[in-house]
Amino acid sequence: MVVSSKVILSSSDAQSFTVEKKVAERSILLKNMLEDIGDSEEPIPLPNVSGKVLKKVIEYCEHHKDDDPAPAEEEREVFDNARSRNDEISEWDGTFITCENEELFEIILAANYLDIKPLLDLGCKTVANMIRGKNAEQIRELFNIENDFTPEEEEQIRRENEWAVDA
Amino acid sequence: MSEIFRIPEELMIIIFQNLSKGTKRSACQVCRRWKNILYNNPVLWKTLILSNELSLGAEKQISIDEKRRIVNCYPVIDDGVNKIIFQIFVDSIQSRNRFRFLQKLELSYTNVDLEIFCVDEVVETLQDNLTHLYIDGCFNVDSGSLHCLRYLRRLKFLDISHCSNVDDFGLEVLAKILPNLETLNLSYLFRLTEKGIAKLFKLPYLNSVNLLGCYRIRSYPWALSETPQKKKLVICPVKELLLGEDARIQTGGFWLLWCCWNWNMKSLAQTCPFLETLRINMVLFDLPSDGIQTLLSECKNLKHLGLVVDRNSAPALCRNVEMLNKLSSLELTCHIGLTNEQMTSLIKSNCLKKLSALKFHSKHTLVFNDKNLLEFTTANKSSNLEYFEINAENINEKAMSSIVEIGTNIETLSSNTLEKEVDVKTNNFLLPNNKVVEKIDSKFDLENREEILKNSKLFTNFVEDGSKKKIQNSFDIKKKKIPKQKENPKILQNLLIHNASLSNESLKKFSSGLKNVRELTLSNLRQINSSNKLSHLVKNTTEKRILAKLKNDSKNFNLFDTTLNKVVSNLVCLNLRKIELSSLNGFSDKDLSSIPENCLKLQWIDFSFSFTFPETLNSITKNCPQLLYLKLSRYNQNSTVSRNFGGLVGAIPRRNPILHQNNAASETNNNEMSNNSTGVTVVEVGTSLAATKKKLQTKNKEFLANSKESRSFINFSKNGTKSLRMLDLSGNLGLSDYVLSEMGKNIKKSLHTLFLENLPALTKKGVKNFGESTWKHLKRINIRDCLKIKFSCVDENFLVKALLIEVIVDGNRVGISNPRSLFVAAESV
Repeated sequence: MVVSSKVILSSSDAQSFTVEKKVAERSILLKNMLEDIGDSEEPIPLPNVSGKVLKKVIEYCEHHKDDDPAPAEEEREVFDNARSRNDEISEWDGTFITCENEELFEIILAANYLDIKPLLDLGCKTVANMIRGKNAEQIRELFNIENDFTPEEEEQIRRENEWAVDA
Repeated sequence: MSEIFRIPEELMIIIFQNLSKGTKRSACQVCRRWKNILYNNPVLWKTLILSNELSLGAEKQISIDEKRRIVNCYPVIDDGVNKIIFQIFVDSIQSRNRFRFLQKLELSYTNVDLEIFCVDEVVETLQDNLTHLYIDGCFNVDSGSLHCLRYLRRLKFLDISHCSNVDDFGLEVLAKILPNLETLNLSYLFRLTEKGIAKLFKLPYLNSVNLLGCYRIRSYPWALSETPQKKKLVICPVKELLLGEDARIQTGGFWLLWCCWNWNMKSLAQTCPFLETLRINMVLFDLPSDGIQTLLSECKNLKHLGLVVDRNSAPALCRNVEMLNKLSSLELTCHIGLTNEQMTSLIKSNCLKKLSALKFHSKHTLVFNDKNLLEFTTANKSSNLEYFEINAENINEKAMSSIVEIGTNIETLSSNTLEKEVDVKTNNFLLPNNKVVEKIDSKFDLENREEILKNSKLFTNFVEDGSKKKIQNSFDIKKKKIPKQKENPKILQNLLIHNASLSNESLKKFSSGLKNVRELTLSNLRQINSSNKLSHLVKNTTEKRILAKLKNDSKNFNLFDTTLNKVVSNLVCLNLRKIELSSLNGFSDKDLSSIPENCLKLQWIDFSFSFTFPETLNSITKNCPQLLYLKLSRYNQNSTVSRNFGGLVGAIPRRNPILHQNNAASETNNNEMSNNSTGVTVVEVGTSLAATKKKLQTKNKEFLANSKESRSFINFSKNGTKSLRMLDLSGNLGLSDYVLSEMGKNIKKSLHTLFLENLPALTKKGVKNFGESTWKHLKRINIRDCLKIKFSCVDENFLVKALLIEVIVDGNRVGISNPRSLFVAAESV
């Protein structure tokens, strides 16, 4: 087997990170890019990702570098049934993703930009877990969202969703 | 502005997809942006669940006639789900538009009126996308009303099980109006006969049929030895057939096996060549000795098989080892006649390699001993076993621990698969099917299928529609190609052990080894010595301490904290949902009370011991908020006869604990089902015991209102009955009139069934008070061997006519067939 070559990534604030090619290829964006440009010594600029977040993302990719490639989109479940979903988050992932809201959102955005599906899913699941079981007021508090409904609208929405009660 | 608004809409959708409907509701109410995302993306609303969740069935439902009769005094039963459907689909366009892509609608155990599926707005929203509909256990559904589903032409999956009003005509209607049906659940439709299921041949895409518990069907058209239309080759495309009765719901009492004497494996193989799953649970056939061989050799696609093993079929199984081991799973139910030697020979011949479930027809078929159990467990170390019932007399330590090892082994292996270094071989071994084989199989199957379909007369109409079918087939292939890696390997989930004695060591092993078990039954457990304690089953001090701490600061307990989550999910027995423990004597209340403390998800508790349960009951009240079913039973210590032990004494027919069907319970109790032509034989023993019990009852001590027993009952009714559906109390537990009346006042709204048995202190006063306070939801009271309860016809009238509660005393329904009470009823009107 060929010894895996290194790739240099450069964040928006001009920090450079040298990683194994295998690690960088967890990102579909980088994988496609590397296929196109071939091996190169030049750093790859990632203008949408800050150094702090990139470090975190690389940490994730390092840990998961030997995972199977993520299953394709069509294989998702047919129904949006939250109950049957696999909500399990592995221990390492759980510890990894435990961070401030702001950083969490940054990671989600970076995962989306870099096209790292498992990390994106992990981030979204984490946000979902934060929301789970809370009422509207608690969610607003959690994310510092302002209530911009008129009382009439609020009443209307309440009525339209009366049925949705978790057992 | 909130940070979260930086996340673009398409990512918010992924987040929202992870939410339950209740949380989605909250999310709609947060702010305009969120509401718009949720409302404008129908992908988030592909499923709509309006079922009566956590129902055990058999809720109190009032028929329209009854309602009219008592219109003024009966405002409690509301329009329920029909009103909700109107709110969602008719009242607001905005709300309706969300559900444009709705695929799956669940309305189980509700009072849904199928006419709503003819309302324009509903039809418009649902007709193009709805593929899955659940209307099981809905008491308003009958054969005629099924016609209302005619606009839902896309429907592939329909569950109408437990809709006891549906008969053969209903199937005729379905076959006519829903040509795309693939999966049909018809279980527990007591009125179906072979005439009805013959109509199923008209459904060209029918894939899977579930006919469990349709006991009126005596012969099956796909397995008749002489096909009526002999010239035509009739093909039924089913891949999955389930017949007979599920042994799992038979706890407490049993019905005799369904008997089917007109069954021909050869014609089954010809009529249903695509069969992959065949479960003929609890059905006894008059099979020729080569029946099993014919089935296995001619149904080439067969992967899952469920069978009854009796004296005659055991040798046949031994002879077909090779073919049996080609299956993916094998489910066996042991018939009464099976002997110990036959079990040993089954184990020795190695034909239980693919066993996924072993069930027993009766607890008293003792087929295991130390030796063959040990042989079995060594041969099945990393088995498929999901459901394992053990019937044995005095199993020794070594054999007992080996059972636990099956569980532990699989548990460790399964957790291994999460890590990357997992040995590929082991992995494949655990997965039911090797992917490659699966792929080839499916291809072969499809080519074959196409061929046969073309030749078959039945399908000529549909060949024109070939393009559509091809699309569907290619879809099938695509689906099958997906490696099912995410699917968990089979894990032992149900473990039942009868008549054993378990040492502390074995119990401890259970606690560490069987974390995934959801249902645990240890019946007729024997205490070895006084230090032998049940609490060892759940004892694990470190975890217990953490749990106690968690409970203390439960207010600050944030589910998001994954480390804590991890700790909780590692707790012993956390996954246990159903527990049944019984022991004729020995053990103690204090010891037992530690079990609920560690099993927070318990929903079904069945304890039968020789003591009263005040501490256990307090512990249940405190620790099991999700409890649905509670049975507490106290054996009389001096009594040698007891209903769960000793031959047919266990055969009290009144229990069919999951009372899904509205009427079945009362029918059973009414002995209407004992019409022997149906094959249901009811064995009456309760009354014969009454005499013995009477003698013993005189010795019973009375319990005062301030005794800890009484207080624990009242405390339970106040704080522990949030979701309780059924309560079953028997033996001298300390239940007095006062306690029962108090309980009635406190008990929450969900309780619908009360069983009272052998309660010496109780009189009609307590029962009447209880009924009076809970009548809005209480559907039935079943009383057995309570000698002091004697109803006058006025009392009966009060309970049955005014409170609309079914009352069954010693197996007879009161107040209905009694002409005297009818007379009084007429007079009072």
